[in-house]
Amino acid sequence: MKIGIITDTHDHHENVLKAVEIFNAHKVKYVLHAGDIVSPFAAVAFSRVEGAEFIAVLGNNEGELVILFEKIAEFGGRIYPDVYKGTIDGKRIFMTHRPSVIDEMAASGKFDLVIYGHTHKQDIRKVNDTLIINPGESTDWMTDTSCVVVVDTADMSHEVISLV
Amino acid sequence: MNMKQNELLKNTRIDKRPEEIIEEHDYTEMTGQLSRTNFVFRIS
Repeated sequence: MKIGIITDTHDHHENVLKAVEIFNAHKVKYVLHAGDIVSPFAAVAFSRVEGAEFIAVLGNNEGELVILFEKIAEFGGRIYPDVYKGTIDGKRIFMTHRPSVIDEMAASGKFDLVIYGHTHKQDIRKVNDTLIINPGESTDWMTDTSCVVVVDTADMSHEVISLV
Repeated sequence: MNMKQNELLKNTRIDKRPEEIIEEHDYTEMTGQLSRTNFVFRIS
């Protein structure tokens, strides 16, 4: 099963639509967003990923929280205040926006996949058996790179895909 | 997070798929750092 991972979209609608196209092409079953969607309207575009469940966590830049919650719920998505912790296709996943606890969560050995955002910098590495993924920003405010990552839960292989 | 947001959160759909297990957020196992920043909220 493929999972699309994205973070820090920061209202970059053009790149969000590119990400949607990529996720559709890879037939992902889940889209995991590690926060900083910002505008509620920007989240709605993820409803265009066909047959995929959208799960997000709040970032520190979200603006209108009430409408953000409502808009995501309207298309059947979910957004968690700070942490999503669950098991998808047998893989234990921890997702949060902020990087402060990432290393500790990875070192705990309790998760197969730890996802975060916030830094706008790509960080993909393994700590023991745990794969850490920060796709880097999907907007273009801080770097010249905008990326998403697709993970295959079958073997936890991952593909970094540029949006530019 | 105000009352309206909390209410919305409670009502957020948790229509998980068969292949997904949503763990109860047991924050007691989270780090002290999380606690200090009031970083997490319970969802039930």
